[in-house]
Amino acid sequence: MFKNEFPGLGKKVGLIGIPLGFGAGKPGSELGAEAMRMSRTRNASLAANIAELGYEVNDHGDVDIIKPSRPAEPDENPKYAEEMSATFANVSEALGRILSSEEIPVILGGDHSIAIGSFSAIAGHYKDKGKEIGLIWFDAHADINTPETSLTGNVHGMPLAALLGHGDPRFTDLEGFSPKIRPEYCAHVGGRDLDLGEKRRVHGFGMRDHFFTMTDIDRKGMYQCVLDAVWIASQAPGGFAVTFDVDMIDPVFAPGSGTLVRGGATYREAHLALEAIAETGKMVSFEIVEVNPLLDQSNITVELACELILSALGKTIL
Amino acid sequence: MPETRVQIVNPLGLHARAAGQLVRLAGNYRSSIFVKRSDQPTTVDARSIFSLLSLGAGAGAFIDVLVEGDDADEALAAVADIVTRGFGEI
Repeated sequence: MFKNEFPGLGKKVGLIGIPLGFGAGKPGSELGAEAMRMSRTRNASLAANIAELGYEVNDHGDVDIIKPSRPAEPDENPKYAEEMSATFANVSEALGRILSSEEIPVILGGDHSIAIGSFSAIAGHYKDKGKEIGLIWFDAHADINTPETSLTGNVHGMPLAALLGHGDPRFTDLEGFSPKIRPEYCAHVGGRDLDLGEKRRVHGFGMRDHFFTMTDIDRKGMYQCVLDAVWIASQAPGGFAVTFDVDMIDPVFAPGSGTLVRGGATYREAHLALEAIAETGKMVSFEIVEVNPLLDQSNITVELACELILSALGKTIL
Repeated sequence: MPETRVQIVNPLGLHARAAGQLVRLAGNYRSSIFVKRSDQPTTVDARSIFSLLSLGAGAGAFIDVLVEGDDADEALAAVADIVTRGFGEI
């Protein structure tokens, strides 16, 4: 057995789908979880590939989603907040079960609004154990809008703000505490499309040096940016969660997502970042979102998402 | 296994540059070198920069250095020296 042959030995993974797509402006991301499960990498399913790394894998199926049975009102902002917060109660219950069984949650989205429910549940679990956790957020967008600054009312542009304690109380007050994450424990990687209100907020929160934008990545390199992001998230004593929006990667490599922006990370930069995170051994959960099979080309984004999950769980080339 | 406790004294702590120095230093010895924060259970390999960073060891933190191998005493002295000198940053 060579070093890193079985990075998951003695560890458990809890796969869970959160097929919620009504936080996005376009349909399709609710199909991401099932597409990732069905996808075959080297002729094996996602669960089988994770098991090959040595993990015991339990697939908990999908969280029950409370779907809106109505169109959004013209001025509704945030959109579908009631249905969403009701769904997050189910997310909390499912993740509580996974974490109590000492499994590492691997969360398959869904659009990025699900991070409000998932990180709240995970942070709440660790808070009960007396530990604060950090967060590394990979995304082309800051996702730091609130209803006051959002032009669309789509909640998938608001999750980071909600977790930092800003926005609709139906989101910020989940699990009975706020904020879920302190700015000093939170790093963001891959940003390149921020609204003016979001830019003001990042600077206003004193988080400029916690945002590793594509300009920072151009200048310092992905390797250095990830070193710095890991350092920030590791200031939290309880380890850190990772949430990965596939639109952080350039549309050339990941076209199957709803809000594409040119100038993203390359295929290898994305793997580099997650291989590095696996090396820390401090990741408490991994989430992948905004995989949209309806917009994909030849399934390459779905397959890339599955590969990235394996890198985050410790798969190495050699 | 030779072991010692040292304090991180440079203001930036065991951040990327300092951790990089420690990785390079560890590569000069045949011994295995492990590091843990004195107040936390996780022990990490000093040859992995990302593991070292994940300790989140800021200024003032105490770390335990454990070394195993035929040049353990020299390796331990070298690691203790670079940490207590603040990685050349003070």
